[in-house]
Amino acid sequence: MQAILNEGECTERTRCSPNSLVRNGSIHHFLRLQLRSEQDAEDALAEVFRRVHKGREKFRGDCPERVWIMRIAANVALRQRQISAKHRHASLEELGEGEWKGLAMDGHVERDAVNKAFVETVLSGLPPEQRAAVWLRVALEYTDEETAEILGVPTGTVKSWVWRSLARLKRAYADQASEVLSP
Amino acid sequence: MNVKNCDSDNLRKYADGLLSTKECEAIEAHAVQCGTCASELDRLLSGAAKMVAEAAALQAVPAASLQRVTEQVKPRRRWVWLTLPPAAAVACVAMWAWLGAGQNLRLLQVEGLAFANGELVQSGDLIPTGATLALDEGATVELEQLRLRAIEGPTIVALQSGSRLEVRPLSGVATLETRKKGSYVAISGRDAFRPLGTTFMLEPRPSGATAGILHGQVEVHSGEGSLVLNEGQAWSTGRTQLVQEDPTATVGLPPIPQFEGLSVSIRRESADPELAEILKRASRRPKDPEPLVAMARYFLERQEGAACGRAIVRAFELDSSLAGMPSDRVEQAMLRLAIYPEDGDPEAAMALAGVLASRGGLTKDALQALSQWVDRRDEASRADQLIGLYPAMPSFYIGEVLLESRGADPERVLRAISHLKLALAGLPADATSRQRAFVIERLAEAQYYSLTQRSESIRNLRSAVDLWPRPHWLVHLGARISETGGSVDEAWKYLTLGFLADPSIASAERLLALMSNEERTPADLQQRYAVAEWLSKSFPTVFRAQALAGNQFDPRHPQLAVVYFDRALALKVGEPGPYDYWIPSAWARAEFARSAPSEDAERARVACEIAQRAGLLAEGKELQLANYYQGIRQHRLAIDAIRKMDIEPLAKASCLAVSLAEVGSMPEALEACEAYLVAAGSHPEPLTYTEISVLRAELLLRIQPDEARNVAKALIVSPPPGIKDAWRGKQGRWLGFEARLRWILGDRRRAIALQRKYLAHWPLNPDAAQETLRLNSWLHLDRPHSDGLQ
Repeated sequence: MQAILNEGECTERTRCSPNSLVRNGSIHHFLRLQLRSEQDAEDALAEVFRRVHKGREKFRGDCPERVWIMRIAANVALRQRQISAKHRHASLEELGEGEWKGLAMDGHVERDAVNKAFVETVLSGLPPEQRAAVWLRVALEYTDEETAEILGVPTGTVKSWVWRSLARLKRAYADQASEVLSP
Repeated sequence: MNVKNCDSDNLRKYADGLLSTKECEAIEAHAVQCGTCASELDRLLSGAAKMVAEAAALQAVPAASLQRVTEQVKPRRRWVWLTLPPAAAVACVAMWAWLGAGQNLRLLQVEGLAFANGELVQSGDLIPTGATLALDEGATVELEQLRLRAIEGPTIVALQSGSRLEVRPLSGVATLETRKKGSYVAISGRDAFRPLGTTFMLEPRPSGATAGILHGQVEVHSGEGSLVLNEGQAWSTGRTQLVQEDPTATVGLPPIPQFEGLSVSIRRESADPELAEILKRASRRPKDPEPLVAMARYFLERQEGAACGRAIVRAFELDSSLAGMPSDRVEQAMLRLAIYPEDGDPEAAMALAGVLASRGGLTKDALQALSQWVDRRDEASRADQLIGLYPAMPSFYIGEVLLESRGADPERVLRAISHLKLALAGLPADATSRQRAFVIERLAEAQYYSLTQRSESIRNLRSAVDLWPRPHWLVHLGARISETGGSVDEAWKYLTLGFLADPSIASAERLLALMSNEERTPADLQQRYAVAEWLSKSFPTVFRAQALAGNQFDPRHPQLAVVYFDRALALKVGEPGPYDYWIPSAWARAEFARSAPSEDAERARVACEIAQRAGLLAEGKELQLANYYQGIRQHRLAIDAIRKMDIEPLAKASCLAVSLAEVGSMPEALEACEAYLVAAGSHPEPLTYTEISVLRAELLLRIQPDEARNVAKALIVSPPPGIKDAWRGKQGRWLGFEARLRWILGDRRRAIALQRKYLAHWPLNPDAAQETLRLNSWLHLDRPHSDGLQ
């Protein structure tokens, strides 16, 4: 594991080492958004690394490595959600919005914290698949095809999910603005 | 909400979140297909996208979190157990086995005979990842991700469970029906197939995989790129585009209406222990050619060419010398696969020819000639060339080759009979009853085509069925008894027995033929349509079944034929096969049924358009085009098509004569008739021969009346052989011809009486309208003081 962590930074789009992915936080951020629990995200991140480490020799290179790794992350998040649902842990979904905002701003959120919290709050109201799709596609800049590969759905579905999520965000932003402007 | 055209207002409302869920879905469904609207939506939502991107400004994972992660994932220490005491090692192995169970695959449902790694599997069993499954034809295995079914002969599949399930078909033809979206990938050679809520067929071949999509979509990734296949489309390795031989592929395929899942026939009623043993070995040793050679031999002995071919191909992949197969079996398999047009396999035949050549059983020249021969289409020249290329061919196969290529040549049939009789006489004393039955059945088939030996044919077929009561032989015997005027009850008995044992498309085809032959009342007709409906519903994913159902065309309900033909066309996936000639005609008939109510002038225009769309104008399709035009009584168009034909002169002349006569080109029609009668020889097809002979007499009446009457008299005294046989006799065909000949002779009252009798005898005659018209014109001309010309 340490060997993986000591690898060099991501140098091109299709070859991104697990190390660079973990250090720039994309997987962690994705997992945190999907699981909405810092502890669950950490556990899931560890599991992602375990699976990447174990499966790396078998990786055939038939898709970009970063897509392969993110697919693992998506699967781990899905599994983790299932476990959480089964054991009824007090997840963020069961907590109030205020607590979510607090957590979202906790620790490493420094710049544009309010906007970021707003986006994450809106996204948190989406179904997990849609949330994952919009995050992968828009935030992490995976292509439609890569996102479809990661989530195991058709490309058209990814497009629909992304458009719908963004439309919801836009509407929520407009509503918020009108609330602020209203006397 | 209907989003047929791009509607910018709706897109704006969508982006502003002002539409209902249903409206949103409609917009999304449209935008996914429409690049312009997709770009517009992206533009309208770019502000929101920017917010998400800014919110995701990536930051390093907090050091504390990173530390916790790295602590959780320590590198595994390998081979620790080597240093442990034995008890601890045993405990480790037990723990490993327990943990390893997580990698197992659970078989949720197993139907039919299936083996995994040499063990018979049942519903609920766990199989280890990396297992090889061997399924008997019709067997189904259901996993969490997919339902796998062997649809033509046995199928061998390797399953590898990793981050996602990998399905690797090794041999046979399987359908893969997704149970959980996107959770598995099918891999064949360098090609990967990702299902998108799909049912698709996949056949692995050494030259590459072939996939046909029955439902949903499949994403194909090959060395040359990737593409998405839609329902009704097909793909073969090495082609970055869809299979284009199918003319319908260029005009868009209709959806399959009311798709209700797969339904395929299980030809064997119960598993044969010998085959079960072979499948068991094949699942245990997937890289050993021996079980596949045994499988090929098994199917060879049962004359199931396609299944034999697939096993051979896989065995050949594993061992190109086929060491486990004796040369005589290689030779038999090669000929079996090369000869038969329907379930043969030229690719496998050539592989075997290569094996035979490497063992000195074939010269290199013969091998080269064979490889060129495989691509030839003309059956007669193919057969002659094969016999010439391969002088040591056993009598049985010479007989078979001649029988398969008989065309309208009675000489070939007689030669086939003599070779098959030689083969029967030459059977060794220890030949099995099945071997003997097979030769006798082939001899019976040849004798049937020699019109003078039909009673011997039925007798021999009965003997073959007694020795080996194969279901489809029972069906065949029933049909033959009916066709040769035997007891209808006995015919039904055999046909029913066979059909119940083998409720397959082939059985239904014979059943429909028998019903068509025996039907006399509208109730009979309804019964036939009911069988057509059963056929369509029982085999909703089989092209041939739908085309057959469509061919039971009920003129009162043309839309039904449209439904069947549309289904057939939607299913025409895979490589062109022996039934590919049905495609344009099926397409044309469906379109004809749609346009049936239109006026004649309009019909001509529609006919041209349909022909264009259906690909009938393509080279090699002229005969179907001509038949189509004749069917809609557009004879001038038919003549143009016939003149372009490059087919055997006999078919061309008969076709041309009929259309020329219809448009009034008498001298040319007469010439075509005479060309046909000269080429027809001494033993022609009775119906066509009689039709052309009577037509010639009718044409002669206008220019050489005496000669016409002489011809008519001669035909009445000596009708062409076969025209009064049981099959045609049941339809009263000769009554109609004799009526026309009597009219030529001036015996009007007799002609009218015979014509009436003909119409009464066969009320379901598809040409009833035309024949009634003929009768009415005769009645008109026969009125007192009529000045009509004869």
